[in-house]
Amino acid sequence: MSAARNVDQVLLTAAAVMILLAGALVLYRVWRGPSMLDRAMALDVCAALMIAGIAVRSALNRDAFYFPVMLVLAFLGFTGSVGIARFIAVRDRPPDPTRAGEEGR
Amino acid sequence: MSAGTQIADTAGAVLLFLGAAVSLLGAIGMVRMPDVLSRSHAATNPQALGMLLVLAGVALRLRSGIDLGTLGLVGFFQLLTGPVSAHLVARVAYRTGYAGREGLVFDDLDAQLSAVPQDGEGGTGPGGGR
Repeated sequence: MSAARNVDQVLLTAAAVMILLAGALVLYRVWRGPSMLDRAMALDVCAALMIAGIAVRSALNRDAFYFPVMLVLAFLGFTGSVGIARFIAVRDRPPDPTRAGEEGR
Repeated sequence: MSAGTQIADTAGAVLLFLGAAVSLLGAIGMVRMPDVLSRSHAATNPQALGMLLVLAGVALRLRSGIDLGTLGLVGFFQLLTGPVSAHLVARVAYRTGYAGREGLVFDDLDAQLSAVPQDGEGGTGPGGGR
């Protein structure tokens, strides 16, 4: 039984590390992203990774204390990217060379 | 602790591990993919499959009724709101020219969008954003 519980601990710790690594990569995309749309999508994925991280923490501690936070993130995680896509990215024109080629077509 | 609960715990841990692995693969895809639409394709990975695997893992480790209800609601709303934002982002990406049109095999939308300003006045056109 104790060996199986150690396996659980190792799997959950590895899951937490992978989620943190994924969060770092997504934040790199937020920093780097050539357009606001990339940043909006990366923020969406960031909310999903927050939910996953809270889930791993709940599984490690076996408590349901932060489940309402997961619920609110699942509700509202998409509003940022919807707002960006609807109102901001219209003014965010693509770089000139490709656009010029597209206009002349 | 009986053997059944131990098996459920380990299965939950394995599901959590798989969900985290899918999330990591999606994040790697978001860093490495070339344009907005393919990045959106990679971003769907942690939002849908990774999220469902993680929630199933937590549900196997916390085995009480009200927690299962909350986790089901989280999965439901995640699956409900993911396509909304993906659809809006892809729509704006196409209409502002970020979609990488040289990589598209079929582009039926382009002909329809180009026809709008010629037919009637006041059409918003490809860059109109509506």
